[in-house]
Amino acid sequence: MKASYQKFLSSVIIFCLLFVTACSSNATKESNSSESPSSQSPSGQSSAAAKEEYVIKILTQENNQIKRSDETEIGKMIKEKFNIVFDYVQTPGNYADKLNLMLAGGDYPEIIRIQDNATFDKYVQANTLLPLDDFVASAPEFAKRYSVQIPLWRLASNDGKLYKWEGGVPVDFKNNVEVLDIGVRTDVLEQQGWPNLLSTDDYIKFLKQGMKDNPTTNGQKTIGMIVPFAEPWGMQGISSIMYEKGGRYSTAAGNMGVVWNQVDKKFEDMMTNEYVKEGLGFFNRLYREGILDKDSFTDKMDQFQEKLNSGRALSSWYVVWGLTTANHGLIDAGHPENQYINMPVRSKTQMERNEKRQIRVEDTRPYTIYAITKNAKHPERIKELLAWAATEEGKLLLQSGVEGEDYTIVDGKRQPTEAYRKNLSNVDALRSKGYGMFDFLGSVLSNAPDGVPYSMELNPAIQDELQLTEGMRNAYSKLGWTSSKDYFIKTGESANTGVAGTITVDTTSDLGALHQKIVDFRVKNSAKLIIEPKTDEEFESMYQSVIADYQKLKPETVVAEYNRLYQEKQARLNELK
Amino acid sequence: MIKAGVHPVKRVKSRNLVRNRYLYAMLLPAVLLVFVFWYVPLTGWLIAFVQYRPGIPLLSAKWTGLQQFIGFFTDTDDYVHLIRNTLAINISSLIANMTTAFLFAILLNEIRWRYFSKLIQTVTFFPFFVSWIIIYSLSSAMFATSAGAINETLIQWGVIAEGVNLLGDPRYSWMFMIALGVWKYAGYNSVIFISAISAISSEYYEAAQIDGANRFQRILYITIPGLMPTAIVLLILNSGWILNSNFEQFYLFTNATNWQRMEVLDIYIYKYGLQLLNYPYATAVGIMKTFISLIILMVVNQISKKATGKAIF
Amino acid sequence: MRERSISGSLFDAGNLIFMLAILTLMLFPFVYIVSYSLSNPSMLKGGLVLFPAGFTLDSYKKALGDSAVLTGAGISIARSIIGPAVMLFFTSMAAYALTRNDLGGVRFFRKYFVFTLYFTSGIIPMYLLMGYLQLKGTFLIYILPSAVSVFNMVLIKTYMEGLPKEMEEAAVVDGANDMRVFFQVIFPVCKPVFAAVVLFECVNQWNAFIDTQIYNTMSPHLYSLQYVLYNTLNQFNSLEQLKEQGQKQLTAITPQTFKMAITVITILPIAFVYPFLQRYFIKGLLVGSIKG
Repeated sequence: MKASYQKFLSSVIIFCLLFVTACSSNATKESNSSESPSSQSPSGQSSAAAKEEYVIKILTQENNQIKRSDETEIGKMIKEKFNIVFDYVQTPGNYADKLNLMLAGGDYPEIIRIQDNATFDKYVQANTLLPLDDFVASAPEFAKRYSVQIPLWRLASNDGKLYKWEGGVPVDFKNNVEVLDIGVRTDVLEQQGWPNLLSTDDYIKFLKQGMKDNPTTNGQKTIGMIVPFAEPWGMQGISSIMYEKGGRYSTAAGNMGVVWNQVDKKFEDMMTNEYVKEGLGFFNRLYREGILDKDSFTDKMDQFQEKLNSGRALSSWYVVWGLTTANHGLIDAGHPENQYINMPVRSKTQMERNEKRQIRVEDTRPYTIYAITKNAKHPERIKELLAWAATEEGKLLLQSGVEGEDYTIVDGKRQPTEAYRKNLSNVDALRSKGYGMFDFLGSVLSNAPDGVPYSMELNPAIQDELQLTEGMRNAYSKLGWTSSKDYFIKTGESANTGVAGTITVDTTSDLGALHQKIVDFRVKNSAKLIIEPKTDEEFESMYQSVIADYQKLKPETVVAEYNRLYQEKQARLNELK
Repeated sequence: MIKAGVHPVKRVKSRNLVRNRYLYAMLLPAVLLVFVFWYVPLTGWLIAFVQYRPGIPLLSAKWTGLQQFIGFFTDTDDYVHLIRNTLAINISSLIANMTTAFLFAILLNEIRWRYFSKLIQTVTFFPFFVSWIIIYSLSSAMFATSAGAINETLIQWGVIAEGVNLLGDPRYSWMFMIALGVWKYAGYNSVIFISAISAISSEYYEAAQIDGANRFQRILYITIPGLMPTAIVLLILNSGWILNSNFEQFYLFTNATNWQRMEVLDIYIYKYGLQLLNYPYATAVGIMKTFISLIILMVVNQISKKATGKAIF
Repeated sequence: MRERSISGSLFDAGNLIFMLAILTLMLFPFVYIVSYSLSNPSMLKGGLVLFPAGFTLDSYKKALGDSAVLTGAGISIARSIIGPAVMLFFTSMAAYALTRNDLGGVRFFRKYFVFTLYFTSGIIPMYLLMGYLQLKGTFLIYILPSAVSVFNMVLIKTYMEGLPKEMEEAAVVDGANDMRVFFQVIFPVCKPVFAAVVLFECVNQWNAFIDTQIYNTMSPHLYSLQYVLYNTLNQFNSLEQLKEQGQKQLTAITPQTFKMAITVITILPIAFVYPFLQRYFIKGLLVGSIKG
């Protein structure tokens, strides 16, 4: 018994060692062949190389079944034309961390997507990205497509060279009216005679009455308002978001320590902002009235989604982009009456001032930066493809598909076919066509010369028809709106982010740490301000003491740095122009 | 070839080398592997002393000296609650986890029906595989104030008027975190005790039975002493880790309402180090933690050596 | 005598009830997880799920329908077998050497190993090291860094120190060298602790995906099962990304049901592996070997 056990064990070990060596020798061969781009000279072999298949690895954070671009229809056409194929490599987890590791190790991919300015800055400083200035000079259509953006992109680097392009820009205001306020249940609107809710007082009255009228929904206790505050961006990003609802401020600066004053063209402190205060006061009143869900501070998206699915929530704060999906679920579950629509809200002061809402239109998108790195084997072939993607032919193919199949031309305008419309509700179908798979070549939210957006589903005339359920459309017409964006377009105006959208303080500096600290302070004290005060007076006195503590951190130095950077960049932009 | 600064006399050393050549041969591969994968990367500690930017060679970066270390202590006054939380949760967790695993192993050993004991053993291992994100949903489904199953039921029965807010109320945070840890790791931790029980010679039990010892006496005088060496070693090993928290757990369970009791050192380091991509800062804190851990380890090891005669080195 | 047996059976009964309570406590959440995984995401309304709401196997179909799952399972099984075997080989040898107080420098080596348990060198140095060693993009990266587990080494050493000294001495008298003493005398009687550490390592290898995420993202043929599954759980932590997905009308956020299905899939193998290892946790193993 002993001997056989021993024999067995030693043979297992020997086998394992052999296997390991075998595996490693295989793998090293492979890695050698794929990891030696630096040894090849990156220039001047275009014509010879154009013949062979060029496979480029693309990092993606989206989860999809498609592994290679030539599995898609559009990808096949790109392959025919350029013999370039993209390999999608999924990179879940902390993406910025991943990019920094690859930067340290020098093994970043040929085309890279970067999701924040800080990391982009590091790549530029490490001299790893290829300048695109010569390319822009030789690609007039690319230059034209991004005429607003290119000067802003140049600003992002110290040497004024162009290293990047971005997805999701340029934007036509009406194609993408970014308004996310409050999701309201339509049956309660109906019960109360379709009121056009707007002020915070309207909402409190409405929700109070709603809870009285509907103590339970589908057998469960009704909840007044749900918010996923427990998400990392929850308390930080959307407890203060009231500032964007009426005039002056837009969300150009993200939701960190400062807000962007669109009218006066300057950054201001977020915590001390009057609208932010009113927003917190609104939540405090909702909490006191028992309307704000007690679990909202510990709810993440999963819990939020479940509550929305159940229909038991009368309203949802800010997270309204998934309402259509939730409504489809409610229809399937046999409760079509519980559907939600997005409605506007304004604070008391915002009502009094009655200014135009500043609706963000992004001129740059630091969340979707793309660049060609020095690891690119055939950068000239990538540039060739990039130049093509900026032509009318390229833009139409990438975003509208094929004439006859996906669209027909009526009166000189593209009209989506039935097949195209059908695909819209099916992610897998969209992807196997190739939509959204080539965003790194640029994807614009603007209109083609025929007046229709390149992505036809963004067409304001048919947006609601494609994106909303029938119940939602009916609700809006009962409210007297011509479309879901009707109110917002009438009372708001486009607020182009311009230079403001490119400003960030160096996160590794002392000011960067202070910035983090003031955000942290706001997050921690916002919850306190929402939960603890029992009266308006208590709220006021607690708010004053919180602000007094806040001022001790010297937040004004961060705001000053933002404004200094803004002035500096604006001046440089004027020079570039 | 072998580092041996311990023996001053050269002849002893060479004789030892020859006599123990087989032992050294057995030790060598492990020494080399540990050297390559643990000691070599320590050169990366340099990052803490320079203005490091990924992609730019370390040696050409600007030297900043001890700035990161000094900044850590002077920049903020948050340490009181951070260190209090970290130590309170980790020390209690260590004790709770060890005790439950220890007791569980002993009680399991007393189950006579073997298939049942195997079943229990396997099932208690399951929670180890449940990721914290799932545990969060589970906790929410059970313990949420208004929508959680337990609170909902208790309110319905009229036992309580308002839900107990385990997830949000800082008063319950420590207890809740410790309990979740016990639930998740009890099965996993008990494995090593179960294996140690197997090593206790059954002759002892037989002899005890002949002497008329009852079940409790057998547990008290044979099983527990038999487990002590393992328990002490685990205690010493773990004591070095009391500054390290389970990041995922605290990242998920910390929210704006319970942070006073939940914010631990590792979360803070993440916020001001990795999240801001400040590698020198993160590395500096890592270095300090390493040294503190080693000091704790040596002290505990020494105490244990004096008190119980058992030590790991 | 009689008293004793009454207290004994009382103890047995109490113990049994206690164990049943534990069983419930541990199993109950799995009822939730399994039911959840079998539910239709839009039918879930919060609260506890004890029966599937709108029974569907979609989550499992989606999880198992991916071709990458098969490759991933192969890699995961390979690393869960090879990893522990290699670990046991190197670690147990070193552990035995460390038990020998007569070995010159043994005190230094004990510290040399134990200290590494508390080192944090940071992720960037490790990444660079793996690059220099040409281990990135290879299977070896799953095996070599964990070939020596110091934690397990200490556990094994502690166990060996508890063994009766006579065994070893008898073998030395027979003229066997240290290596033979270890493999022929010590190794066979260490089965319980070996089973424990192999189980630990097996579980670690099975659960691991961070190493794939850091070092092997560019090599899809080396993705482990956990990594493939983790891939499908992409969590968007930034509001902008969430909104972007929302505006594209894509339901890119993985439904919770899917995460639950993955949990079930990854737990199932342990239900098979563990009972297999349990047979080594048997009392009285030593008696035979000492006498024989």
